[in-house]
Amino acid sequence: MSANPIRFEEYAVRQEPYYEPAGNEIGIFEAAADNGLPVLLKGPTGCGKTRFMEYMSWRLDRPVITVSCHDDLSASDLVGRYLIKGGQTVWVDGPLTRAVRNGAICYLDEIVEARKDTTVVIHPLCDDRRLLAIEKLGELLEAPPEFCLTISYNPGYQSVLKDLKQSTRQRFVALDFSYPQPDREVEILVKETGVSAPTATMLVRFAGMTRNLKGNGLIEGASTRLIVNAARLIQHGIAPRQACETAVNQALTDDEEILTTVRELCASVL
Amino acid sequence: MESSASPPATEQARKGVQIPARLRRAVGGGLYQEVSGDHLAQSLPELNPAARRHVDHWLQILRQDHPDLQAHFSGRLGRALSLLKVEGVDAWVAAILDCYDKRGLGAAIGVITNLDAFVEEYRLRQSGTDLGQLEPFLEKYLTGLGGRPLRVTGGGHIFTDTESIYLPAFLNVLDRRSDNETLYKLIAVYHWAQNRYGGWRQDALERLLQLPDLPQVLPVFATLESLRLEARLALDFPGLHRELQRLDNVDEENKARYQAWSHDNRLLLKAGAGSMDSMDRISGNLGKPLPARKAYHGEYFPEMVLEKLRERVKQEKYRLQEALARLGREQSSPVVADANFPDNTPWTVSGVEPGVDFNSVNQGPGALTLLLGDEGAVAGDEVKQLLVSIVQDLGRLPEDYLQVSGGYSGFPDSGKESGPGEVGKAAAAGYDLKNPLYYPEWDYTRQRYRNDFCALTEIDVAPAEDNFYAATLEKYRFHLNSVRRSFETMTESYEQRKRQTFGDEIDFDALVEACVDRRQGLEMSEKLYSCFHRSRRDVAVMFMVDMSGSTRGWVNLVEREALVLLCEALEMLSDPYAIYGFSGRTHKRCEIYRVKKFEEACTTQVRARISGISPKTYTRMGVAIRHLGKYLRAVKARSRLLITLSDGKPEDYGGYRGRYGLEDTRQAIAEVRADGIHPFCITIDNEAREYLPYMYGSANYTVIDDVRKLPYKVSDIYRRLTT
Repeated sequence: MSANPIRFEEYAVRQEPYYEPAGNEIGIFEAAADNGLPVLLKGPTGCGKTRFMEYMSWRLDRPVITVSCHDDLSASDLVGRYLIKGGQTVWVDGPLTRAVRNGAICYLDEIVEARKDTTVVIHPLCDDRRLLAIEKLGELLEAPPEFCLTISYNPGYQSVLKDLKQSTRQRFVALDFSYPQPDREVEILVKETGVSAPTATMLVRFAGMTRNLKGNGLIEGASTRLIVNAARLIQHGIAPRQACETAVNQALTDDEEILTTVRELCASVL
Repeated sequence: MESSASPPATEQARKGVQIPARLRRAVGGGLYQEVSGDHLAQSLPELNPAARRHVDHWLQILRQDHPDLQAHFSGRLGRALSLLKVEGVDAWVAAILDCYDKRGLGAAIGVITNLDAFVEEYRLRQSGTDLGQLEPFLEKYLTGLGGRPLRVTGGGHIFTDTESIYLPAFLNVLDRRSDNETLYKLIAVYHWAQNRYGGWRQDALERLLQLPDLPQVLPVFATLESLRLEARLALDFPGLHRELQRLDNVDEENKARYQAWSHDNRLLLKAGAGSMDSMDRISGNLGKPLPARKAYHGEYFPEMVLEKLRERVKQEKYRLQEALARLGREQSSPVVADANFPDNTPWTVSGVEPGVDFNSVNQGPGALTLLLGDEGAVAGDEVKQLLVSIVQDLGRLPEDYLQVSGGYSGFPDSGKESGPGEVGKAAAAGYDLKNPLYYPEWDYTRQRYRNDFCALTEIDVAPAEDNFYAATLEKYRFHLNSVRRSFETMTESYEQRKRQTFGDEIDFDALVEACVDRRQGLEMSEKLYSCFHRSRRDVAVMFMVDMSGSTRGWVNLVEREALVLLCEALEMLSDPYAIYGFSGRTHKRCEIYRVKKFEEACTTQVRARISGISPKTYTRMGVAIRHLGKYLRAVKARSRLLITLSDGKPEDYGGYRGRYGLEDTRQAIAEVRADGIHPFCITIDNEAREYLPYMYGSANYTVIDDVRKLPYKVSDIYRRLTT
C-alpha cells in the first residue's frame, strides 16, 4: 500500500461506459443502492460484471473503488494500516475505508479469493448497522447513504475448494450474471469493437462452442471479454483465426489435446 | 516335439546364423512336428542381436498363451520378418494376442495363417488413421459443436442411431494420413448435422417408414437430406464447408448431377428447411439418376433410429418434468409448491416457443433461458441440455412438456421398462451394463497392454437407512476427540513473519533497532514490518475401498467404521475428498461403487451409503486405480492422494492373481504416479509386507490391525506430503 494513494476523484467514471442490459439488473441495483443494501454479483469470468459496476458508477454518479481480491489479501489491506514515513508512523486508509468515508461504491472483485478473516470485516457494513470498525484507530465509521458495497464471485469453478460462507452471502442482494444471449452478444461485439456483424456472429458461435466444452476439458468456455479482444485484433488487421488463436484459444487452455479441439472448432466457423 | 529329420543346410546357415539355445527350447512343444528350432533357424534371415531378442520374446509370450499359437507363428516368422521387419512383426504379434483375448484360439490362428492380409492391412495402416487415436478428439469436437452429446464408436457401417456415430475402426481412403484424419472428422460432422439439423425428427421418420418401397425411396431421401445438410453446414460453419468441398471425392459427372439436384430442390438450401421438406420432395425426385454418395455420407438405418428415438422421447419427457419439479422445489417457489397449479405451468423457456416448429437450434444450451414464473432465469444446464435434445427429436417443444404439477410423482422405474433379466435389474439400480467404460490392463508376460480389456461400470452404493453412522460416532466418541485434535493441528494456520520489507504491522523491535542505527549514523534497515504468512493446505484425497468378498465379516465393519472416523476428521480440514468402493468378477464386469463424490458434501445420503458398503466379489485393483485416478487428476489440488483400504492381494477370476495381478496393479500405480498422484495403501493383511513394497514402494503403505489407528495414519500421510 502506498502512502500516497490515488486521489479519490480519480475513481469517478466520467464517460458513459457501453453496457447492454440482460434483464432488470440496473433497476435492481439502483433499488439496492437507494436502500443501502449490499449487492452480490455472481457469474463466470468475463461476462460483464466489472463493466456493469463501471456503468452503475457512472449512472449513480458515485466513484467506484475496485479491489481485486487475492489469497493474500488481508483485513489490513482493506481497512488500512500504519506506515512508516520519515521516522514517523502514518495511518493510511485502505480502499474500503476510503469508500466508506467518501460515500463511494466499493467493489470487491472475486471475494472468495481473499483470506477468510477478510470477509468478516465487511459483515457489519452489510447489515442495517452499516458500520466499519477501525480497531487500530479506535474509530467506528458509519457509512453514509451513498456508500454501496458490491462483491462478485464465480460460483462455477470455485465450488469445491472455495465457497462463500452462508454468513456472508446471506447479507447480500444477489444478481446472477451469465453470458449474454447470442444475438445480444453479437450486438455487444459490434458496438464495442466495430467488427462487422457476420464476423461477430461467427465469433459468438465459436465462443458458444467452447462453452459447450465446459466440464469436457475446459474449466470455462470463452468469455465475452475474450471474443471482444479477438474482435479488436481482427479490427486491427489481424487474420480472424490468428486473432482467435492468440486472444481466445491460448487464453483458454495449455492442454495440447483440448487446444487442438478448440482450434478445430475455431477453424470450422472462421 | 522336434522333427527328427534335419533340413538341408542353407546358405544362411553356412554364413553362421546363430539361434540361441533358449530360442530352440522355446519352440519345442509346438503342435506341428515340422515346426522346430532348427526349422526356424533355417527360415530366419540374418538377424542382429536386438532382433533376436524380439524373436525370443514373441515366441515366449505366444507359447505362454497357447503352444499352438507359437507353433503356427514360428512357421511363418521368417516370411513375416522379410515382409514386415521387426516393427511390423511386433504389430502382428499384438494383433494375434488381441484376437486371442477377444475371440479365442481359432480366430487368433486365423490372424497368423492369414499373414498376407495382415501385411496388406499393415501397409495401408501406415498411411491410414485409426479411430482409437482420434476418438477422444472427435467426441470433444462434437460436444463443442453442440446439441445432444453423441458417442463416437467403431462399427461395420457408417451411420448414426442418434445416440452414437458409428465410424470405421480404420480409415485409409485418401493418400495422406492428415487427409484421412480430416475425413474422419467430416464423417462425424456430417452425422452430427443429421442429428442437429432435425434430420431424424420423429414425425419425418414415421412418415418415411410408412412409404411403400423403402429401398427405392431411402437413397432419394438421403440425397435430398445431403443437399439440405451441406447447405446448413455451409451457412453455419464456413470453415467446415471448405473442407467438405475439398474432400468430397466425386467426379465431374456426379458433380453435375449434384448441381442439377440442387437446382431442382432449391428450397432445401434455405436456412429454414427441415427434414419434412425433404420428405415432401421425395415423390418429385423418384426415378431421377442419383449422384454417387460422397466419402462422408454414410448410410441410413431409419428403423433402428426410430426405435431409439421413441424410447428416448418417452424417457426425456419424464426426465424433464422430474428435473423441473426438482428445480422448482430448490427455488422454494410457492408457485410450484402450490398444487392448485397442476395445469398452469409457471415454467417458460426463452429461445424455444412451446408448440412452435423450431428448425434452427443453432446454439447450445447457453442460448436457452429457463424462467420460473416471473422470477427470472434459473440455472439448470441439465434441463437445458434435455430441451435441446427434445427439440432435436420432435422439432418443437410440446406444450405439455413444461406443465409440472406440485404433486409430480417422479420418474417411472426404468428397470421395469427395459424388461426382466440382468440388464433390467441393473438398470433399475442405476447400473448401466450397456455402456461400460473400457480400460486397458497390463500383461507383464507380454510386456504390453491388453487394449480395452476391462469393462467397468459405476454404480451407487445402495444406502442403508440404519443407525450405523451415529452408532459408530458414539462408540468411538472418546477416540474421536483425539482424532480431531490431531487433525486440528493440520488446519490452515498463519505464522507471523518479522523483519519484512512490507507487511500488515510495524515490527517495533526492528523499528527500535533501525532508530538506534540512524542515531549512530548507520544506514536504517528497510525491514521494519511484520506480516502473516499462511501455511497453505491444498490437498485432495480419494479413498478406494476394497469391497471384495474377502472383506465379509469384521473387515467390512472395520472399513466402514474407519470411513466414518475419516469423514469426521476430513470435514474439519475442508480438503476435498471422495470415497469409492471397488470389486468385480472377471475383466468383463469390473465395478466401482460410488459412496461420495468430490463435489458432494457429507450428507445423510453419503452417511447411509457408507453404512451400505457390503462385500461383493473379487479384487481387480488395476482398473479401479486407473478409473479413480482419472477423477483425482481432474481435481485441482497441489497434493493429490489415492488411498486404498484393502485386506489383501489383488485377485480375480481369469488369471488375475499372483504376479499377474501384482504387476497390473503396480503398473496402474506407476501410471497415476506419473500424473502427480501419490498412491498409498492401508491394509490389514499381515502378509502385505511381502508384496506391498513392490507395488507401492517401500514408504507408501502401512499395515494396521486396529481400526482406531486409521485416521492417525492418514494424518501422518498428510503431514509428510504437505510440510
